[in-house]
Amino acid sequence: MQDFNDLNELKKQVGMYFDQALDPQTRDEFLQKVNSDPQYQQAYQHEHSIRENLKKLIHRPGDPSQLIQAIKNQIGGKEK
Amino acid sequence: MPNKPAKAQYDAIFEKELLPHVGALQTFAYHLTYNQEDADDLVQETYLKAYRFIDKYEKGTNAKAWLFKILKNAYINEYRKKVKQPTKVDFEDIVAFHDTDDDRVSGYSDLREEIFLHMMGDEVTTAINSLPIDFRTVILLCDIEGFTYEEIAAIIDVPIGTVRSRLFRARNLLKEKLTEYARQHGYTDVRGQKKSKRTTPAKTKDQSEEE
Repeated sequence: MQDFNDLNELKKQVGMYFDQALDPQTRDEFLQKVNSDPQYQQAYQHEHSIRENLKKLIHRPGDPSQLIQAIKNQIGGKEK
Repeated sequence: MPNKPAKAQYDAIFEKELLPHVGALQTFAYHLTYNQEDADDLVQETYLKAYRFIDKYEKGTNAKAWLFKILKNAYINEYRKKVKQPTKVDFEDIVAFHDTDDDRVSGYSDLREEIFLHMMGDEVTTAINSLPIDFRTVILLCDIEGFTYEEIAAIIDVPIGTVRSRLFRARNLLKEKLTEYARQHGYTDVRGQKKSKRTTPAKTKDQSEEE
């Protein structure tokens, strides 16, 4: 039962860390555990990998330079 | 529109602090509208509004969050009115109705990394786009753009507990969808299977030879 609670706490802390929801002290303690505890390290790397894959694989429109120019033109046009 | 004396200062803020976020806003707008042309229109509208009200923006504060809030409001107030919606009970209303304030936190600890090996490219986008808009929005703001709960709460005008609650449910739904797409491309979750194989009694030498 203790292991189950520890695992749940680990999952919660990892999620909160990547959501930037840990207070500074808890964040520092968490990172120390990541450096010293293989279970924390594994959970950290797993969560990091999943989130990086989501960011990498989501569709992103291409180079925004044309849109930036269009915005500048519109603002310039409205001012005249 | 900014006054003449302050114009140069406002133009500098616009150029240095606001325009660098065009790419992030384009991605967000694309996943709200599902359409590149509409997304670009929405981003342009956002920047025109930002320029019009730039005197309300405090230099050096969170420009990205401010722009995302303007875009989200522009989407709700203008873009969605243009899209003909059939008269029906919208799932989004049901989602909002069941919003609760809680402190549940869900990451992706129970999602297998291997599923991404079975994805051809569009599955993440398809899975995120298939989420109800309230769920899609928090995933995009938190997991893709890296906003904090507080920033998200300010952008979408809901309490922080609601942000957490939506994220919890949105991630669970997203994990289900990603796992399902991966299965369709040949992914098999072997968790639990190894254990059952191990419990199968090993064949004796004689049994193997009989085969």
